[in-house]
Amino acid sequence: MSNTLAEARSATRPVNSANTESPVILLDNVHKHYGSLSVLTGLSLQVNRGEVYGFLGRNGAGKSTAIRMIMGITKISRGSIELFGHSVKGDVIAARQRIGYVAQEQHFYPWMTPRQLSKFVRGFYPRWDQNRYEDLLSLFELPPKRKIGNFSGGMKAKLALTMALATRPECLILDEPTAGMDPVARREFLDLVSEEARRAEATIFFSTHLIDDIEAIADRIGIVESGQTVYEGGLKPLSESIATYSISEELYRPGNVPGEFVNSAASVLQDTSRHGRHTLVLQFPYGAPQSPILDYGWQQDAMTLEDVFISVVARAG
Amino acid sequence: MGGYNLFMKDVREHGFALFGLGLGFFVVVLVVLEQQRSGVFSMSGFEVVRFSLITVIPLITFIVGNRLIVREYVGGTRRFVESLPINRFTPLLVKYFIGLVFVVSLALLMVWFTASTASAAENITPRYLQLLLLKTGVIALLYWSVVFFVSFTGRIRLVIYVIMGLTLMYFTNMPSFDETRFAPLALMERTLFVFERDILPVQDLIETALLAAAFVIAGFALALFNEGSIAEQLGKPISKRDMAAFVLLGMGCLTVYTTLQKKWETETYELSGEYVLRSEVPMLAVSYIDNAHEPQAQTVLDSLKTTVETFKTDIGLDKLPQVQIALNTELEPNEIEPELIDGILVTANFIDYDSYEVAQLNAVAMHHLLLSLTNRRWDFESRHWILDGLSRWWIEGSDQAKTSSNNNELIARALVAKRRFYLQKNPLLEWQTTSDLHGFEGADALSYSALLYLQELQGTQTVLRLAAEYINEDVGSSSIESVQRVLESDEKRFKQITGVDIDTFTDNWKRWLEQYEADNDIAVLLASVPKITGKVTSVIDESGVVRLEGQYRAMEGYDGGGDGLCVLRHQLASAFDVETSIYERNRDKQNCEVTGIAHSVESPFAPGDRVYAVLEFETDGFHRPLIMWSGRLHVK
Repeated sequence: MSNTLAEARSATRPVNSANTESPVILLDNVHKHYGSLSVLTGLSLQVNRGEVYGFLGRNGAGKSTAIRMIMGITKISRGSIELFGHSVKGDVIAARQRIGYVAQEQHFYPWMTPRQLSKFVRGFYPRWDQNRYEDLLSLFELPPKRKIGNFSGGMKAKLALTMALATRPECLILDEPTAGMDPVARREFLDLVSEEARRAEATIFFSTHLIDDIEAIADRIGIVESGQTVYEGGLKPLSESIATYSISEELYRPGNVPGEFVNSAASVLQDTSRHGRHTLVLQFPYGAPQSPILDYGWQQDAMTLEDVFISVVARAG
Repeated sequence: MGGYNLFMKDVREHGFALFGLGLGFFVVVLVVLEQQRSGVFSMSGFEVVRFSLITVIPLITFIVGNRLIVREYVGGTRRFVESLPINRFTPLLVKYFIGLVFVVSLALLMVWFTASTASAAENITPRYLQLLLLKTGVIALLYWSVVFFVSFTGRIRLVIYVIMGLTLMYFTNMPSFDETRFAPLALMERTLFVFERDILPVQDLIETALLAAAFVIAGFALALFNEGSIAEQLGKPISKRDMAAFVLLGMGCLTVYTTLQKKWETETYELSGEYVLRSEVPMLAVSYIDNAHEPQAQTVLDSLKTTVETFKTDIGLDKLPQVQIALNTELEPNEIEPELIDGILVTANFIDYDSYEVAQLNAVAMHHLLLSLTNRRWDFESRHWILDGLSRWWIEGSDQAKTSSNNNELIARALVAKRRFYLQKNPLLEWQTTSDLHGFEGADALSYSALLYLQELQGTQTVLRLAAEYINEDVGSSSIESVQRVLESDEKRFKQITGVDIDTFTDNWKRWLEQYEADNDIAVLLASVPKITGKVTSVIDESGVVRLEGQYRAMEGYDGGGDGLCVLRHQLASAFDVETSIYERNRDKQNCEVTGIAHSVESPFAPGDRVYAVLEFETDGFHRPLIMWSGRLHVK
């Protein structure tokens, strides 16, 4: 993890310098109800200028609804959303002109070719860069004269990203763009996003349920579960604050803990039995102890970021 | 800019298809116009406009709605558009605008196109054209607005269309529902849409436009409500559960419709009571009110029975519907009224009828019997003269008609009508105009004489073959065969049976008719009728009262005022009124002066009214007045 893109970005520009400006995206206690169905129940997050923000959550956690509200497509039931320092209830059209948006599913007109698509959409975006569009088409090997209806899912996603980037956006919003892609297309797509992320001024809001998608590029993440923010902050502090301990079922007695952690008020994220072992996932507010002294039978297990994510959302769920 | 982009996108996406649709539409209009010109629907070229407005335009509007709106929802491309920097309202507005312009332009172009072809045969005034354009435009506006709304209902839209259609059918089939009183049906009323030339149906137009506005608002509301989530949900493909629900709904509707249809199919009206004379074979009934009327009722029944039996034998029919005649002493003796009920029922005040009038009454009954047998297909203009002629021909004794006691009067009446043949190219084919110019009496006499000529020319069998052609008409066992039958013009069929071209036949018949002017008995009758025509105009006198003024003018060979009186009759007119009521208050009798104003009468009409006026001549030699002039006027 020492050579992550996030670290590379940190080395090339002052990430936190953006924090002095107004956030690009600011959600404050946002609620959304469809009749009796509550989709968001107090979502808050802040995306600062120049950062890559990973927006994580399980399917159905409310990510797409949140993005549709950020885009001004869906109205807010309660709370507030600001884009570039202005309420989204104001001039949403002007705000959208500053955003590049890649939706989860691409609904291009199948009869259009990429060239016709650019003719259609460029009138909506004052900062449309036709040269960049053509360059990106060429870079992504997208045939400009072939009907989009004949494109694969991956090609459509690349085209959506091409279109989004050609608008010279101040913020790029990606709504689970790799969902349904085959591994090769997914890798290609993520490489393209990484390229964009290398630009110092890029603000990217990347929604996904696949932590691998954002692991390498996200400066900060927000985790949403059941319509609420359950974590917002860096990925590294989160992973460092969580540790997993396990003991065989024969040795486990209810109420047992792995040991005493000095100055560490741990909270239990998960308490499960699996494959003959009892497992406890603990979260330490000030970071997990580096070399804990464990009681007899207990051992510390290795954790992937995915394990961390699952633990967090499992507790919230 | 965004709106323009969306507009251009829709033009690129749908332009070619819409152009093709428009082109196809005009091919259909052209075919129907050509068909109409060949005689099957030949009352006015603008009937094609109404026909298209009821059939083809709704279909086209439906297709346009599907392309412009439904496809956007089903294909999900709406989600792409809504993520663009544009408000939610503009894309809908652009689509409404494109659909509106296309549908309304197409409808208006159709009127213009029809007008340009119809102008050769009809007098198309700017006012008339404006009225047609306005009515057509507003109806097209309503169609598009309805489709605009329903298109947002996605997968249930077909069900909604079916429900709308059934509801419309239910109301228009209700005996107590007068569709001419409710917009938008009133705008499309069969006769007024085509033939109303002056009066602007302001209220109907406004109501229709308001209805259209309501659908537009409903459409926008549905598309925008709850961020368009309802329209989006409805736009998803139909599920098996939906399909099952629709099938159940369809079966329910079918059950309801079948039940209602049974309810609508009322029992045939039957005359009942002790004052009814009946014949079982053929099924006839004549009712009367008092024992004193029985002998006259018996005369009517006997005469009709003889005729119907002859007819049944001549044509070789197994069974005939029942024909009923009812005495109604409240009617004027010359009023014979077919009643609008199930079955054939004619009412008349026949107490003092002589043999001519009994024949006339039975001719009306026969007319409706023939219409009933042909499911009213004999109503078409280019074949209607055969229907009228045969009704009278059978009553007068078919092969013995020439020797009937009424023959001379009928031939003389036909000769009087012939004096104004210069107004028409072919009076047999232009039967609506012929009836208009000469009244039913004159038209009956003309058609009777034409069949008499055919009988004399080719024998009774040819007349019977002509009758059988329409009575036993094969309408085809499939829709294609039916269309093929419709495409066979009546002129063609006439020639197939008689071997004579209808125009040649008409010319020869006119010459044949002329020879009867030398017949002594007929000449006496003709001499009693002055050779005059005239006209009626409306004026407003100093006190603001609308007066009708009738003037006569001498025709070629005029030799005096004849042996009788001239009568001006008038009534408020609808499009097809050719029979004016004969109440005394609408009647003015004067000597037939060909100089100055012969009639000047106060009328109950107001500016804007349409009036049907007739100048007649009454003389003892003829049972019914003879029409010297007839026409419609617009009180100004």
